[in-house]
Amino acid sequence: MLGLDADSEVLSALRKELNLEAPAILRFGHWIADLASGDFGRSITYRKPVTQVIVESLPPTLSITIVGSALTLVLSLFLGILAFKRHNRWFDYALTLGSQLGIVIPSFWMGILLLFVFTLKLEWFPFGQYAPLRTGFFSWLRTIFLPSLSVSLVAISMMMRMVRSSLLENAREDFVRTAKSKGVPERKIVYKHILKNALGPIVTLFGLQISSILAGTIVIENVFSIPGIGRLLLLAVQRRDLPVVQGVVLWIATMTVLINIVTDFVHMLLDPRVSL
Amino acid sequence: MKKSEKKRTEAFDSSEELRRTFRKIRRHHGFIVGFLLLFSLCLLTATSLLFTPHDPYKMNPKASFQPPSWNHPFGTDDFGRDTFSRCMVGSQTALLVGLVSTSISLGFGLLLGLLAGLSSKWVDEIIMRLMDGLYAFPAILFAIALISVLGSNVKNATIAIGIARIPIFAREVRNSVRQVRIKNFAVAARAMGVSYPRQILFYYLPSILAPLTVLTSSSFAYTILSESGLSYLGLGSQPPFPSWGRLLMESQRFLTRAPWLSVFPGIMIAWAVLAFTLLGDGLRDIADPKI
Repeated sequence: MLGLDADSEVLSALRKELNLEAPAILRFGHWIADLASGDFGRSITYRKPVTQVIVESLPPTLSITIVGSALTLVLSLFLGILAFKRHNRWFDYALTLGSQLGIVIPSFWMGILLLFVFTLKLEWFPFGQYAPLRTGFFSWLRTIFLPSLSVSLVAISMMMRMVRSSLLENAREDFVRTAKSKGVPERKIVYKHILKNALGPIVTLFGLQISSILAGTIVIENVFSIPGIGRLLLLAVQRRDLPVVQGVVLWIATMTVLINIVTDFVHMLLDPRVSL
Repeated sequence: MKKSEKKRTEAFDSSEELRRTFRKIRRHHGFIVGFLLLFSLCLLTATSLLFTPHDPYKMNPKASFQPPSWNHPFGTDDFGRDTFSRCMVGSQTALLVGLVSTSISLGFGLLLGLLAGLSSKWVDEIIMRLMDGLYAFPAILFAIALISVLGSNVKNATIAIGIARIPIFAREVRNSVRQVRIKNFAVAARAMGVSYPRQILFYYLPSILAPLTVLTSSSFAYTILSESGLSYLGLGSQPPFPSWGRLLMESQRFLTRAPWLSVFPGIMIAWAVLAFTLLGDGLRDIADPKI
């Protein structure tokens, strides 16, 4: 941190400041105890509490995660239902092929390509900025739309395939035939009968996709130079600011667990056959 | 001992089953495409070990930023190095990382999964809850955490990705073992006093093999993707050794001047990932007796 030829006095001062003189096990004990009271320690480079540093870079990351998840939900349901309705026609094949590509294309490469086309060539979107929501909805959306789209591409593709295949599976069930023979309109069969029954696995997968979008922001924020948690994490690793690294890692892991719990809960609410 | 071996050879002799499998493979276009993609990638990698069209490390400032041409199919970078040769060498990194880190997750996952599946409820609970804890960390996050402590190089990235994927293998193995354990032939084997290694080898492994092969193939895809992500962040392979993710990171600075530098390494990643994904999906369909 100070370089190899640092003064021994400066060195010992820093050691004292960082409390490196106590034995490792004692320091670990302190860290756990502080953690339990919500204290992540102090950042070495920012000279501020880690919690404050994390909270300050939270808005862009949360925005990307939320917009990305919303895009995933809307687009995958829309495209998945469309592919189901046009099953075995060219539109269905094109979407299947497209989703296969969406899964194998790395999100950061997609980000670079989108950046090249829409930011550098067409100049539709700004680069390396984040405008908070209070500056207006559209200026906020413009700064995070491309990152959200590229980070959720894999999720959209996977969800779309899932929606399509579980709709197809449910369409073969007996209750669909019954509804048809009763004369229930086609629209109502699709949305009320088939979709509602297919929702369980879709919700579960969506929960997993939210966590993977959250993890994906780590890389994508660095593609677009957006000052969020991911950028913070990478800078902290490069500057060896371990308290921040620990804080961010724990924060994302906690969020992942929380998202999973909420997903299970929603699944249970939607489907009375499932219990926790 | 003779009996079990005889039974196994009989199963293999029944050429009807083998023929059916081959018919399935022939009809599965995705599998064939995946196989051809992987085969061509391996061919490219093997060639790069012996020969590349240009020296991937030799700098030539006069020839910097050349667009794609016959001489340089993928163009040249800021130091005038041939991107095609660098992508070829990068495929070594990708395949090696895929192989090593998948072996780590497969090896430990198999061990822990067997242990959890065959032991008492308590051991099972402890192992699986530990796995759940590890699974809560997204792989890339776990890798970054480990690299921040151990230092960034390709070895640590490989190990970290491998460890992060152990729970997925362990869970698959454990669940398969639990399913097999209550089947009559497994109960009979226990009653006859067949030794544990023999039980694992002849009773459990054959039924785990199919899901494990599928998982291994998709794991390769995931690992190559993760490694390129880490290398893109500068936490994986270090210069001058090329890896696809690293090439993308280095080329992003010249996005307006030399966009082709950002295109081809990405295509290489997508190629490798597509190969393993198609292969994995194909294997799953072929192994599924219902299809």
